[in-house]
Amino acid sequence: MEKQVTDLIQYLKDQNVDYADVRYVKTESETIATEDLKVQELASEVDAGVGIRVIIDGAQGFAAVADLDKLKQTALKAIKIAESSAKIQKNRISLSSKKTVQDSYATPFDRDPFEVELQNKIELLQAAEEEMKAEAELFKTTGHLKFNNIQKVYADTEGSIIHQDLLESGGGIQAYAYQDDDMQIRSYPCGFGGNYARAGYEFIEELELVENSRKIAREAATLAEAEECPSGELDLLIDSSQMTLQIHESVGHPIELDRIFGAEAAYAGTSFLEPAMLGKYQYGSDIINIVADATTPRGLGTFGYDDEGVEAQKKDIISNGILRGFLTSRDTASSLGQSSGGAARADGWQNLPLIRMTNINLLPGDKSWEELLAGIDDGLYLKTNRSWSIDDKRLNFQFGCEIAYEIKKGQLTGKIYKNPVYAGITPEFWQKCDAIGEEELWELYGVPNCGKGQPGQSAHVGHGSAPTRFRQVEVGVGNAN
Amino acid sequence: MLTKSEAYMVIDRLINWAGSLDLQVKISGREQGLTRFAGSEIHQNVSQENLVVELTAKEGKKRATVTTNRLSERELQEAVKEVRQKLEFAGEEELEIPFVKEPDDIESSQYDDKLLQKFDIAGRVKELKKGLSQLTADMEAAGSLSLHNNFLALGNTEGITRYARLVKADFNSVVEKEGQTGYAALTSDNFADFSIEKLFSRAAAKANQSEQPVNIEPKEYPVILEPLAVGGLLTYLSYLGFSARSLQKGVSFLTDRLGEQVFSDKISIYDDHKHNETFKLPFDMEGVPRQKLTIIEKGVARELAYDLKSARKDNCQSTGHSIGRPSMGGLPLHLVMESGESNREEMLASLDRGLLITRFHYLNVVNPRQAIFTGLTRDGTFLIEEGEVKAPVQDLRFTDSLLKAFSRVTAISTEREKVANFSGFSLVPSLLLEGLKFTGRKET
Repeated sequence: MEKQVTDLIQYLKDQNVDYADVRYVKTESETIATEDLKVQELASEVDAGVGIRVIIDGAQGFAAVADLDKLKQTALKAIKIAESSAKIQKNRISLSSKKTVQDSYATPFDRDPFEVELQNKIELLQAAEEEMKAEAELFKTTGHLKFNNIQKVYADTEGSIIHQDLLESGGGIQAYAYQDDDMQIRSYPCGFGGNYARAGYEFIEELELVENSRKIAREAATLAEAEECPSGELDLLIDSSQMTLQIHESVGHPIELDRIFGAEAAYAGTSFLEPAMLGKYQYGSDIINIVADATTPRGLGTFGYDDEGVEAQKKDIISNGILRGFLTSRDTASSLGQSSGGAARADGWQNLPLIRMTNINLLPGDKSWEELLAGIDDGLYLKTNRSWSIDDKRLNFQFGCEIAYEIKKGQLTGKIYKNPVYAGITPEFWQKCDAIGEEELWELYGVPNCGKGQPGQSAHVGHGSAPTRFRQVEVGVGNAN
Repeated sequence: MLTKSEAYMVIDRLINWAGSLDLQVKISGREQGLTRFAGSEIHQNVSQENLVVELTAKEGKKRATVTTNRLSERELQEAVKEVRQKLEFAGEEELEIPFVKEPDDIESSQYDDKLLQKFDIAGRVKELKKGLSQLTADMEAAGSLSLHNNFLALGNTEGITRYARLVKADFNSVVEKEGQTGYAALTSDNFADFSIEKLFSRAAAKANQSEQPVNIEPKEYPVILEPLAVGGLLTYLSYLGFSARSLQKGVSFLTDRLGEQVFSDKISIYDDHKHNETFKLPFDMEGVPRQKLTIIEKGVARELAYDLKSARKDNCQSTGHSIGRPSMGGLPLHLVMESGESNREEMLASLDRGLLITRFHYLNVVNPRQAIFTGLTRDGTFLIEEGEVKAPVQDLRFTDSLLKAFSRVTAISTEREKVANFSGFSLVPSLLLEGLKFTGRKET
């Protein structure tokens, strides 16, 4: 495919564009879903095409096509679109400089999931379901596996040519239980259909779906009979399976520089952050250290190069509670006089790269599990995201979890509550953080469905964190009685 | 874009290659052009073109699907081979789901050609330039104008064929003035519905009215929900609770409530693809002819959306609402809420103190069985006192059960608007609710 891509770059140069990049992306995927021990979905997909971006006189056009016989025609369409864009343009697009490379990158893995017998994958999910059903009286059980093999060829008029082979594996299980008029769900290893990583089938084996199935089955059945989560201001210990969402919504999205510049204003909104806050703004307490790290081993937001051909980087976002960085692309970084942070990512061949999260990780603290608990006299340990909503400046949030474990006098009492919901204002909330779990407690979760943009794009991103403690958080607002 | 005869030729070829294999072929073609603007200038102007073939093979209770957009003869033959192989290894599903056998053919080739003419690349820019030029110097706009030129074709080894052209346009814009915003949006398959200039004016008027908002206490208020707000709630209600599959999964708020009064008797909700204000798609993703559903009749929960699998499970017929994802079952795509008898002025006049809400932001489900949702008001929220708009207010978060809120409807507007839903658009009025519980305030 490299020849077709580089030939197209030459064709675009011949058309006298100021800049162009061409991305060929081919994604092969496999989805397996089971429900109540039966196969619910068995599907595979091949999706391939080419996306062409051009800049002419500071105006941008993008056109994408699946039919590889229409590449030149589509290139001319991208040029026509750029010429149209120029008619309503105040500021010329300027790309920050980058290193020109000819390189390749591949996800490291031990076992190709596409080589694993289909029957083995189905049987794995069914075995986990059997364990769940044996453990508790459940209304329903489900299991899910998904694998993506993404092949990319990138070239631009500056001379870069990059090949990437990215492999993704993910899966999870769920137990449903209900009593009277309430349905309760427990998921393992997390919500969003499970945990995902850029890794091979070994990642699925390490999830130990079967070994962890009985616990969530018991918890689902117990939740169905549990009391509603209490209301009030309580100390919270938030598990990594929920911190993932907390980081995603209240740090990951607000630091996207295109959002800060207003690009998403009509859709999911803007951000409370401004460029002038860099280096000064107290985002949270001084133990908060967050990085955007596209090099995290196995991260779902890990790659060799972003979709502008910028090398993967690890950047400070929040250091000792102070805002230090944004997620940037070549054009937005240029507005700040910086080089790109390598966060321009497109959903497939058919979409223009936007600024997307990579792996936005909360770095570990120094507290053991016992120390985290010991500091709580009356509080809750919250696990696994279930519901999320945040305002259009990314300030007022309200998140729901699957389960709350009661903490009294520094100990888990064994009592659980259903339907826990907590709410806050982003910087006030992060200021309430007074303890973060140590490295051994740190876990990485992959989110395969981060939505942004028009037309809508879905990004695969990662978040690492350890259980984290917050003081006096508003809990229980979801009980609308 | 394949014509009907071209699409049917591809289907025939694939079915011939399948031999004795039971096969369903679905072809979807998509050409989309979208012009996005922010800060009153274009920042994304894009086009995409794709053609996808989906093969579903079955044998008894076994079923497998292969999807590809690699469409050379060799690659399509490989796809047929792959789906056959996958079927061999597939485990059995719970039930055997037969392919659709009748009627032989359904065609829906009508579309509004003016949409294609007026909203091409140059047309979109021309319309946006006109619309943006009427904003005052202290205003900035963000939003998008897009054209969707799609088709769907389907056939199977039982000999049926289906073809539909699906052409629509979407517009939305937030207009901002000194930090306050207004919004307008429209999705339609009828060019005559679009006046981009008027839509910009509407958003600008809301922004003007929103200057110097006041803070009010979050608590329960009577509310007038404009169509964009109603459409947002209806989309989530439908996704969460109007499919038979959601009842089978036990997550619908209609579980154990069919035949019961769940909303005010003023509310009736249908799914009606034949209504002249909904888009034209007379069959579903399994080729089943789409039926009209009376989902809520005078507040009583009546009928649910079925695909083949959920229907087989409940021992009834599919209603023709498959969206091609058996895990989700049927989903109504042509939602129509019955209009009422009040005009906007009458609804305002009847409020001593309450809120007028333009739209909601980031709706999500808190408790599915009780239909408890949360979300924030956005782009035009106003305090009403003694029947008049008194002041704009800072946006609020609501958290409330819609079973409760929609049981206390005091008025419904005569006028309805087309509001985008997950895949098309719904036709909805404004609603006056006796109360909606607000649980937080957006900080600025």
